[in-house]
Amino acid sequence: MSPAPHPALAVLRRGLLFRMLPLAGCVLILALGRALALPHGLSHDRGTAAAIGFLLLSGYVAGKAAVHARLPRITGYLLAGIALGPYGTGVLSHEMLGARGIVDGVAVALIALTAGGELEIAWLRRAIRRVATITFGELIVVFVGMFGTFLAVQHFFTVIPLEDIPPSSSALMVITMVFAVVAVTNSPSVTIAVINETRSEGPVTRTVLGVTILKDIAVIVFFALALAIARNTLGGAGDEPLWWTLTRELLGSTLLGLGFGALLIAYLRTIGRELPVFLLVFCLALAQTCRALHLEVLLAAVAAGCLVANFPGGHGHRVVAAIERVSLPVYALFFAGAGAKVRLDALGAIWMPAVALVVVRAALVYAGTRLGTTLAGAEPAVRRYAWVGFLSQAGVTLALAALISRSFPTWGPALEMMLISMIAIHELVGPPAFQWALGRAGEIGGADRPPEDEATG
Amino acid sequence: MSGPALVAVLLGAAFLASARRFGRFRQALGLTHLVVTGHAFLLIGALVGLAVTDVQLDAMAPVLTPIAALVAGTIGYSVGMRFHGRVLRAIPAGATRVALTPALGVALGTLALATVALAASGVTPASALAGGLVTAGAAAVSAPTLAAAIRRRRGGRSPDLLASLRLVELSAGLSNLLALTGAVFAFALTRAEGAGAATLFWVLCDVGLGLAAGLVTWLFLGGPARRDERLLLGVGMVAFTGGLAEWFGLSPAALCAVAGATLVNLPGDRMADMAQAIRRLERPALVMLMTLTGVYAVQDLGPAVLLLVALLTLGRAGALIVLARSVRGSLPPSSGLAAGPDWGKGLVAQGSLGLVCALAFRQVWPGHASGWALAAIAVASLINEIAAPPVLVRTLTARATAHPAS
Repeated sequence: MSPAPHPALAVLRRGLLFRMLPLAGCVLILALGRALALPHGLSHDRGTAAAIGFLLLSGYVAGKAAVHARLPRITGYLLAGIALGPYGTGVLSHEMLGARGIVDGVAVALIALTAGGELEIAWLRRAIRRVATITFGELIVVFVGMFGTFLAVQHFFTVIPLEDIPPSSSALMVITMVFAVVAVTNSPSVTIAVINETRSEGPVTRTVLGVTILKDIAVIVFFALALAIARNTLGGAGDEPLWWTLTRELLGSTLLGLGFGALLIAYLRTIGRELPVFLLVFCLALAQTCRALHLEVLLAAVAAGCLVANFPGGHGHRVVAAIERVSLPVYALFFAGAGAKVRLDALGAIWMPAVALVVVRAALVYAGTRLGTTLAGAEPAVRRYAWVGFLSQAGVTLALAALISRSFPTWGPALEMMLISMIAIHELVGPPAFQWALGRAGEIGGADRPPEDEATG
Repeated sequence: MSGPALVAVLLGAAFLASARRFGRFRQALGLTHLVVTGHAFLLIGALVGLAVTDVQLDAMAPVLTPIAALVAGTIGYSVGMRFHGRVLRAIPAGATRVALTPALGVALGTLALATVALAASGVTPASALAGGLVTAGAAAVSAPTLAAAIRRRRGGRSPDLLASLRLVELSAGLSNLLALTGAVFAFALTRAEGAGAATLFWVLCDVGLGLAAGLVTWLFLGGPARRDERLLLGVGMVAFTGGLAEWFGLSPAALCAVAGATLVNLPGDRMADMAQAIRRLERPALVMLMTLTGVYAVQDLGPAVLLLVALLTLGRAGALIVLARSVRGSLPPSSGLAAGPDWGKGLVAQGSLGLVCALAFRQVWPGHASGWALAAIAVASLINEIAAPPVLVRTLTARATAHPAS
């Protein structure tokens, strides 16, 4: 009788047979199909559904592999996207991924709806001072620090060619300010996704969640201010008044979110069936409406989730549970898609200044959060580990970088390239680091544990 | 119509169609049956379509095309997975011929007449033939949507009616093959017209890719996975397979049906996982199919459509009933099936597979022939679905009077 294989070997064998082999089959089908069909007038602008399916499958396989390597699933999704995307092996082209934007909107809305569903007014009332202190501590330290660092990096590496900078005396200062504001941002989607995936619960989780949402609001304000100052000083595309931008993005998004939240409550009370499917349609509708009205989908979905969570009837838990049933495919698709946008070529070109800026930013995030948590009198675990939750950067930062590039065509693209390079590093480093921090704080799996009094009572 | 307004209309309509408190309202309007079959959403889609311009629809194409491929893939997999070798082998001798006779006769008749009608309307002969193939496939497909409801009625319990209903279900199941064959050739013909390769090459591509996709799905489902992971794999494979077909200009429903049939005939019970994922996707897919069909159908209404609608309603129903009568009494009682004089009336309701193939054809190969075919099939499907219940209830009442159930 032959001896049983080593467990690790059995896992590897299963992984190769049931994951890598069929995935290789998919790649082969794509390659074979291209080879056969390209000479026969194959259209390049088609294949979005195939790309979506392939991203899902490859994201799933990479996510499983990441879990075996004790990394967050989303790191696996991101790596799959990087490997298969147009900047990696090019299995999936720009055209194939073109119409995938609709999925991004749904995913961001779902993620934010989950975050809003976890926000209880009673906890917010208790924690708002502390969350605000940490947020602003970190914001100020990172902003000031990155301002100085960018000036130094520009001096040594010339990130933005001197001929692209307008000849005004304050031009470099204004550009640096815009960069520093964007450097402050972190990725709410990554943070919330890691929290959801690890089923974390505890002071670090709650603080990071609260600060992330508050920071998202603050970033909208600061970015709008920075953009307005830059336009006044350097000139640029777009002339919407500042007050209108802020009112629209903050008040408009919140009101729209509350309206959608009321709609969701009405559905839960009157129909209540097929909730996961309804939530997908709901998020699609919310994302499309926000897009059409130029509103902030993240803020709107958080407001909707918060309203549902705090409305009598315990609907919040139902919504969060239903989202969990559909979250895996949505997360896999969203983060694999985000990975496909990572520009390895940009990182390769300017990796030295990018790495320098990433390292300094990490130190500043640590210092700022440490300052904020100390002033707020937070628990030792929060003081020690919360900063790691603010390292990752992804969609929000990418969107702001693209906006800068569009608004300031002379120096904007160079700054965008630098920000994209930094995002590439942050996307890969942020999720595993945050998972490590949650593990060290002992909060992984906390959402599945009964409350202390019930456990002991 | 703006995007948010369109979304608001769809959400409002879905609410009216599903809210419990509107149940009586729906029943009073006779909408309950149409909500179950999804045709109510066809009407909603048509209303939306009236407010959408061609330009807006073209702008939405990059989003709507993948959705159509996903819908076609879901329904294609669902249909293909019914063709299990064990089930097919259990069909009594001679039953296949009897079950397929009405569908095949209707398909051939429709193919000839629809091709002539389309060619006379000014499209190229190849496009007319492709449009005719899709229309013929849709005409062949029947839906046994009322069979389950009839079984629950008093008159539905008589043994000979039950045997007739079984034959209706068998015929509806097998007629899907005709729709899929029509779609495979219609897509391949159109693909070959633009690409230069032979039609047969694209037919073989369709079948070959379907077999490969089925094998890949089977392998993926072999490993240990949680419930939500199996859903992900299911959705992923449906999107990949359907998308692949759309990418190559082939029929997503047919390619996915081949993949589904391959999956169920490979060893093990892995299709159970896929079936579970498909079941969860099927209803939303049907709602999306009907809504999208409605939106597109109203864009292409014209004189040619009227002619095709007449063919697909009066002509189809009449032919089905006559052809079903021609094979009456040709099955032995031991088969458990009965080809009574009226069994053809059970085939009048039209299956959704024809709509799926027509919608995908319109999306992948937009043009007059595909547009007219879709519009005609959509309108006919609605008329047939409204007409089918009274026809069957009349038969049922007559049967109940003749053979009162104990």
